[in-house]
Amino acid sequence: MSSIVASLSYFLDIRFILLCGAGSIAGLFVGAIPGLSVTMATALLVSITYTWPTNDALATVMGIYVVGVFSGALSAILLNIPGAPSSVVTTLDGYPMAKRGEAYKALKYATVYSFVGSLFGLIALALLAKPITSIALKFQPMDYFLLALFGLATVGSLTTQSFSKGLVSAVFGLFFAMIGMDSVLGTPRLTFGINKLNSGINTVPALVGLFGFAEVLSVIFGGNMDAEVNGIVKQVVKIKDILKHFWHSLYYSLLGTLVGALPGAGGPVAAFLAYTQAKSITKNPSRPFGEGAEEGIVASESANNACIGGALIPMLTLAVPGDSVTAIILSVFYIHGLQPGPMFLARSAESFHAILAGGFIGCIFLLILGLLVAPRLSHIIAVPKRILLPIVTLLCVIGAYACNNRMFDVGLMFFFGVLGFLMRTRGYSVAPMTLAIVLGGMMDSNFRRAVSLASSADNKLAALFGRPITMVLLVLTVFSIVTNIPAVKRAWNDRKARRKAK
Amino acid sequence: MDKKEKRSPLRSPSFQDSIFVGLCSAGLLAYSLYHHYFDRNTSEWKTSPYLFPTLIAVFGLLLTVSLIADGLRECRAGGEEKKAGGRKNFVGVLVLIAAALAYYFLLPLIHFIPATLLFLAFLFIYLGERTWWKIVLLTVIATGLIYVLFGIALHVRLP
Repeated sequence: MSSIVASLSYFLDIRFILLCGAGSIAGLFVGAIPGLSVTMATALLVSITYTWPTNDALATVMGIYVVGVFSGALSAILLNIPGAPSSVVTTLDGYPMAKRGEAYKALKYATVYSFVGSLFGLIALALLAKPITSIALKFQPMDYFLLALFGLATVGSLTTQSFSKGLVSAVFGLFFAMIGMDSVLGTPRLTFGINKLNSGINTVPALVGLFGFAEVLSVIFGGNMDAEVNGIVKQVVKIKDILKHFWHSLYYSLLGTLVGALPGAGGPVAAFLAYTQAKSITKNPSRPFGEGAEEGIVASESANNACIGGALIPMLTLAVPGDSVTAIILSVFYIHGLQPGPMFLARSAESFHAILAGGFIGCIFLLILGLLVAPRLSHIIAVPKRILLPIVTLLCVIGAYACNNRMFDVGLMFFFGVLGFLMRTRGYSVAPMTLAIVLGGMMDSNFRRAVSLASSADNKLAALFGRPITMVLLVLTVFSIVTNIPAVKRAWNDRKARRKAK
Repeated sequence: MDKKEKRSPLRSPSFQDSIFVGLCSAGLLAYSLYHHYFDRNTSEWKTSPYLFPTLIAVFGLLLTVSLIADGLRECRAGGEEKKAGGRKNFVGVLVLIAAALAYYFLLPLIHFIPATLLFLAFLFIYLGERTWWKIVLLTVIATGLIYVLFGIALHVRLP
């Protein structure tokens, strides 16, 4: 609770509020325009905020993050194209409502319940960060390694249909993370004589390429360059009607926060899960689900926005990002010399409060922009992609160049962009690769440290895996890998089907 | 008899991917072992910089086996899983990559503003914008806005 109180002091900092507001406005457009994503915008922002004071950077990033996740709902409702993957479920009921001439009402529901979800997630972050940190303080190098491995395994299983493909993506990410000077002995690895690779693969060009340039290539490959937009007619929506879903939305927000805290699961999974729950707990929906039920929008928007706070919990306390945006925010931290992890709250309490404050102020901007500006955006978000894509490509080039002021990074960005595009066309998610690039160095150094420490013990296995926390993490990691092996999955499903038949 | 069409394993995407992943993993394993045993700077495995890359390579080889299994399953399923979807614009992707590469090489030669004007104008035209005044206006405004916003207001160094 003290964290929430401490974060309130930022409400008096005009510069902080203005930067958060600028981020929120950017987030509103970026999230709403299909083809631009919050992840891409955050990745581009890393290169711009490189030289900024940390709190300024955090204010802007949080503004983009909170409002960007919400504004994916705008194009989902008005265009039937989700602005962000987490808004896919919103299209199911949002677009039918818009087609019936209730776009304004749908936007109001989306705004209010995105606000509720975001606020819930951030309060959970404020309340849970300390207890989780106190557990994480007991972590040893092997625990960190296993935790990161667990994160990669979970991401691998949740982001693609094939578990093997998720893990292949993570393995290639780890390979890229190994390139450059080894952090323990200072030996250049996998540089193949290219001196510019000695400092390793910079995460910014890799992320901008994987999420920005790859997205541009994918849109061009898809061929659909224009979209049809629904008009908005202003209508009276009673506050009493909107708030009647409040208690259900708290349940969806709880689901969203929990799913967000799982590495890799993120908004789409949370929204889908909440939508399924809404279908089972709502006895008399305003309309059938899938045909314009307000309850569908409430579930989807509460859950996907609550993921924001949820995803930040493991990122700040364990240095394991909950989704691709938090993976990029993690790199913002590293760039600004901050070290997320168990010591983060003790060493960088001010930054933690700044993140909370940025989130809370972002929520207020969400409400203001969602209620006042969003209904007027219908024509702006329908910018033809033939105009949008060249500008996004240009922003990718500037973003990649700005982090180190060298053209080599622009080349790296193109390489990762083409790689990301090829991966997408073959059904590989780039999210595990992103996490692996960010976590690879930490995994390598902690694994070697753990092996070195254990080598002097009599019972090496016990020294490596004998502690209770390590055992729990090992069991979780093995469980998440084994239960996702296709043969095991099939056997489990067959058994379930046989039981049902009996 | 209703027979499923048999497919060669080489036509299965997972099988093709397994060849690529297998080759990369084997290459990484050979590289790591070679450098661990023949580099002057490395000592024992426990501190070796090639310990973790070796593990990654071994894991990659295991995944190759898993992908082969996926590929064989796809073959058994026969030709039933043809992908749906409209026409794909592969040429467009190649053109964008070529344009991006040309921009990459032009930037150091003719500097940011002229290179960006050429790059944007080409892409607007290629992606289907036909009104000439719109092309000129968009190109000039986008380049100018980005130059002012990033180069002057935000002090970001431009290529």
